Amino acid sequence: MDSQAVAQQMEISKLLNKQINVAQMECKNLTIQLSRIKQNGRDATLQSLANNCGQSLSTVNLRRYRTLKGHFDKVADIAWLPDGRHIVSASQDGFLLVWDSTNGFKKELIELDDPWVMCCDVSHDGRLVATGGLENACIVYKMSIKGTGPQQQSPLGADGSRKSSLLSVFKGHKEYISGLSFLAGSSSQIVTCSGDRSSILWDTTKGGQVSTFYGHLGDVLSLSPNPTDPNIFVTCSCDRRALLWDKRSPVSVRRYVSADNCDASVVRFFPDGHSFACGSDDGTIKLFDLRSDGDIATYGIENVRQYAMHNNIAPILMSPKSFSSNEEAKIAMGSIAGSMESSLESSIDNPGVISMSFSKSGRLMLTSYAEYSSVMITDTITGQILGSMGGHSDVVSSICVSDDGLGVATGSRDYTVNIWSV
Amino acid sequence: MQSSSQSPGSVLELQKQLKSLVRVNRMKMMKLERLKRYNERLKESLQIDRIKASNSSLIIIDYTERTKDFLLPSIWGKPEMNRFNAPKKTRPKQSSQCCVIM
Repeated sequence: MDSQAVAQQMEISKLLNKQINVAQMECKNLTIQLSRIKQNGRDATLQSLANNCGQSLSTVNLRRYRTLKGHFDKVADIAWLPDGRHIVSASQDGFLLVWDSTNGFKKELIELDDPWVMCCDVSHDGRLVATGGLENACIVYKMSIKGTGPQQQSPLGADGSRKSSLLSVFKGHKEYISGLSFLAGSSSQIVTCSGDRSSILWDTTKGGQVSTFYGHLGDVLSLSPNPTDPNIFVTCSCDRRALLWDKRSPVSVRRYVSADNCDASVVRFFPDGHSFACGSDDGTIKLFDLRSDGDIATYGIENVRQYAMHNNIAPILMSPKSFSSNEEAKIAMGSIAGSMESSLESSIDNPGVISMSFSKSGRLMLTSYAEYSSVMITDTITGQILGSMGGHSDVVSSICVSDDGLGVATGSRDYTVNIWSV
Repeated sequence: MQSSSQSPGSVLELQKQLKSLVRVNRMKMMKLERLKRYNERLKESLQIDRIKASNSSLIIIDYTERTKDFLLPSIWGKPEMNRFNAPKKTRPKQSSQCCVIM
């Protein structure tokens, strides 16, 4: 009996081997076919077609209008409210501040449940702010800012007790939350990405998670929602890949290899919703297009270094001595002398591209690097660097352009937020 | 019966072999399943309509030309009102001349 069964199993085994072989061959063929199709489609880059752009740019200068001071630790992330006037900043001092960027007044203070905040985002209606951080929970707070009238808020309630404005505490991730965002036009649906290799879609009206997205092989480091389609978002990860997701599908819809041998650290959708930029730890940024299913532009770090050298922008990692040659750096010295070491550590921790953002039309790409405290302004089409925004004394951790495209905010590890415009 | 003629030791051996075979086959089955699913996805991605990179680049260039962008005043002009540029509300300076003590 047993020997019969063994013979039968042997037979099955052989059959399976054969089928696996066939499937593997098919896989190989399909892969070759696919790469050939993709190769065929890559007939040009954005830079090579730049002469089709009628409007040439020489330099771009943005003026700094305000410096928002009030945090006493690194600003981790910032987000504009939809009115383009108020701004939220989350800092590792454990507080979230709402500012009026036009006059620099603080409008609201929220004490964070998770002081190790890493990211924040504001809902489409400007009523909610979601935060995520090292305590693995996505926490949503209600803001009391409504309209633009002056409003005085005290962190203490009428009876002297601390006021709380919690809406939801979403627990489900097993590791830190590296990025989060409300889906385009949504005031209830939040996507978070985490070090546990997954992304989760949450709903504040449902009070819990809607679906989980698995597919990355390493920590997911950043995500960006499609600005025109509320179902689509893109994530990037330590596994060097950028994956495109549809919230209705548990598996990724498209995959792109964004870097050869380093983490893909930041991802940001182009304003038209058909392409996205992905920055990696070696400082390279690639623009991927969904319609042609491949990369169409590359922005290397060499350009940035050259520009910085010609314009006397000192790298942060330089020793304190070499700072003295530069006016701007002199000022920087005073405030970062103490945090010099921690700044050095953190830039080693997370090199390359730290944050990026597109202007309203997508023509300008604003990027911050671990090496420089200045934000670089790149022409997306030609790839040239058109200017820089110098004013911070430490790494800029977050860059945000307001919804109407007029205001730019930068949050930095030097504890401040700067407001820029033309 | 065949098995009765065998020693109890070889029966045990046979059972062990059967068990491991079943386990291996189950793993192979899973592998095949996974490969088939992956091939399905590859076929799906072959079906996707792709345009040439040159075309999508041109569409992007067109998009940047069509969309009004305040950060590019050289192309789109200065905004009529820049809320960030609002004059600071400061109290008018009092010069010594306007205060007359009667």
